[in-house]
Amino acid sequence: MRILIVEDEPLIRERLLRMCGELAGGRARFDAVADLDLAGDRLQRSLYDGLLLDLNLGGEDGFELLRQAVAGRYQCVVVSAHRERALQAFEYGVLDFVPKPFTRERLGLALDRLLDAARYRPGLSRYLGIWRANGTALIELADVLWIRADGDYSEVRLIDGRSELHDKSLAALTAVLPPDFVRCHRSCLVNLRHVRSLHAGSGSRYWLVMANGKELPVGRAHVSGLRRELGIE
Amino acid sequence: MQKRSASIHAAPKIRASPSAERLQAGDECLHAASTIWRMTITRVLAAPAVLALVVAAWLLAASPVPVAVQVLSAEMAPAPVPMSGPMPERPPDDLDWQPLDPGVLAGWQDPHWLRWRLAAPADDAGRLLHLSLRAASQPYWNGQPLAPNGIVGRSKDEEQPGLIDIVRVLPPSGHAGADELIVLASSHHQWLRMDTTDAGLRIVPVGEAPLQRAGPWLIVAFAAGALGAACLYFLAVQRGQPRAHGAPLLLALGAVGLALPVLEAWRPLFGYPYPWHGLRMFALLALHAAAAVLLPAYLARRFEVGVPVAARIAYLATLAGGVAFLPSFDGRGATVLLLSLLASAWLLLRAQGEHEERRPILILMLFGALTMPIAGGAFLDGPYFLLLAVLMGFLLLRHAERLRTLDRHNARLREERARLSLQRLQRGIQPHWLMNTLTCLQELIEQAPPRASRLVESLAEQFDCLRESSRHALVPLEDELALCRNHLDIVNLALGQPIALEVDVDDIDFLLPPGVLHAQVENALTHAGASACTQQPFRLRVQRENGRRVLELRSALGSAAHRGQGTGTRYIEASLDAAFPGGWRFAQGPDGADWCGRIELACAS
Repeated sequence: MRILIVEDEPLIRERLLRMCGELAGGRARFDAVADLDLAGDRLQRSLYDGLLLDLNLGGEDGFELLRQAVAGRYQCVVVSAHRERALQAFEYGVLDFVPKPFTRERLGLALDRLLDAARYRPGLSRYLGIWRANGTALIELADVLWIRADGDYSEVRLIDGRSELHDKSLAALTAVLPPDFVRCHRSCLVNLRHVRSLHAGSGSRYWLVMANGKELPVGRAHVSGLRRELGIE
Repeated sequence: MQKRSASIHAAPKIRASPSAERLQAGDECLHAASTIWRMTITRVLAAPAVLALVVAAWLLAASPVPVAVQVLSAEMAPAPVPMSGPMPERPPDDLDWQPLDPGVLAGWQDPHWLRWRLAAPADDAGRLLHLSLRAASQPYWNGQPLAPNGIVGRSKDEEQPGLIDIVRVLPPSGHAGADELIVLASSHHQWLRMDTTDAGLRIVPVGEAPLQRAGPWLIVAFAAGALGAACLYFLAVQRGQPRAHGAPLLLALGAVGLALPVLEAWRPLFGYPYPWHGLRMFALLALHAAAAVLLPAYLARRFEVGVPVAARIAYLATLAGGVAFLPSFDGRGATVLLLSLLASAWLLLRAQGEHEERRPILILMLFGALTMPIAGGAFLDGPYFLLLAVLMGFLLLRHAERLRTLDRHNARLREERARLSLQRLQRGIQPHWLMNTLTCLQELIEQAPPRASRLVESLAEQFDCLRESSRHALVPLEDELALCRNHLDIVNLALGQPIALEVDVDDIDFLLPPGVLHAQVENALTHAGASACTQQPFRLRVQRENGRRVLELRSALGSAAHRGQGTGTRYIEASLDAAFPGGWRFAQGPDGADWCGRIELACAS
């Protein structure tokens, strides 16, 4: 894995780089820059799988940057002095929030999450950041019906019928999505809040009827889990 | 510079209103103006109206009692008395009577006779004799002795002083024609030699209403009570506050205003032996003189009218001359009063501004000054106290109101200062800076312990400076610069590269609100970034320009948006407004390759 460290304070940058190198061992390679702009298009070119981002979340500027960061395909861990903004950062879809000043152990925990995101769920996101031509837009996860894998990307279907494409893969999204989102298929996560009913057909074929009346196929391997989550087992 | 002026952040923001809004605003302005005008009229007229009411009540209460008997003649003559033995009970027939002359009578101390002939009444109803004499006396009514007033004596030792005013029930006339009142009197206990004396006689029906005599004094007592209440209210408001302009003078004047009617009412309401009369008159004159000094002194202080020393001396000399050389106590009192009223009116006319405060006082002064020559001594006997009570009441209440307003203003200032102090401390420990610094410290502890130690020291110094400066509304520029340098030291230690602060200052002791430069330094480090600040030093220039103190701080421009719109700027503006209300200007924006923050202060020290 390649991970980018964004930190403007030289001493802290050195500290992050040194500690991350020691903690990750051979599992990841780290680069460090002073700000997001200096990362140039390397982020867009999907060179990185993860981001350790220092943000001044005291004002709106910090959250604008955070929105851009979480809209990318890479996972994002925020390292910030604004401890009181941790919950808000999680709602934006960050994988972890490391408050400054940090210990080696705390940084190690965040790094573990970053390197093995699939093990750590559910997340606390309330929004999904979506790239648009004029920047990023935030989608409320409560308005999402389901999310389906689309190659390296994810297709997000909204309750009003619109679809959006998210840069993260379905696996990466799984790590940050709240417990309402459950696998109903190998390539699909469904929002249980919008499930109207679960139907069984001939030949052990199952499907979900969503709030808007549309049907969603259920993989055989996921029926039991779905029943459990829906409380109908 | 053109670019900078375009992005100048001006504190007052004025929005152009559409015409309808302007019309409405115009109506509101008219309404507000008419309300203010009504309030002004009410305030100006209230005190004179109250005075007119109480004077009218006084005049009504003091309307003369119908006289029962007409005095036909009043005479006096020295009494030939034996060297020892009892006093004669009637004057000898061949006594050389002369018309009663109060001026001459004032010099008589040995026993003397006084004789009044009175027209006989139409009926024989019961009558009362009111006799006022500064002497011990033995009255005889148609040769019949009445109850004595003290004991008439040939010498001071033999005489026992009588009351100054006595009342006797007269026996029936018994014969037609004229009644005769003869009084043997002596005045050996005169404490103070006077130019004239009382020798008053009044005969009234027995059925006079009990309140008839005391009525006018009840009005005075009411006014004095109101004045006393105003004094107490003033003291309550004044308590715990720093002394306002002229407060002691005003309280002293209030005390004089309370003491005067008490002294005046002492004689008619309670009476006293005649030797006390001189003392009372002297005390009254002293109070009049005190009021004549205190009133103009308070008004001069209250309305900040500068009076040349020569004018003060001339005024005091005139007062002293009036007190020392005028013939009678009434004349002295009237002169002193007139002088004080005229001096006060002159001061009020010379004062600047505060028309609402000055006009009612001026009207009262002119009322008194005009009434004095018309009413003469009668003015001193009653309306003067009422004038003084109303005037003092008005002054005390207005002064108390000013104190309350000042108190509210001070409370707002204290609140604002506390808020700014808190804001200052919060800014000093803002998490992004503090936590980043602590994280740097963590790394320095591992990498370079001596540098870490220096950082800890600098941090301690920074918090000490912040705590100290947040306790003051203004701090010397030197202290503010020390705080900025300390902050830059901390950044230097964390960064490993120095950030310079170049200073060009003409007065290092100049006072300014704490944190206004520190906040700009913090803003530059946050928005332009510490690295940019290492390339371009901070440059501070403080100088006088057209009578204004100008502080110009230049720093790295950087590229961050929204600079100059955050809490730092709001803190600077609020601090300047609290310290120099209406006398400051703060503008900031890009200027060439710099970011320039410019503070202008009108009242620079």
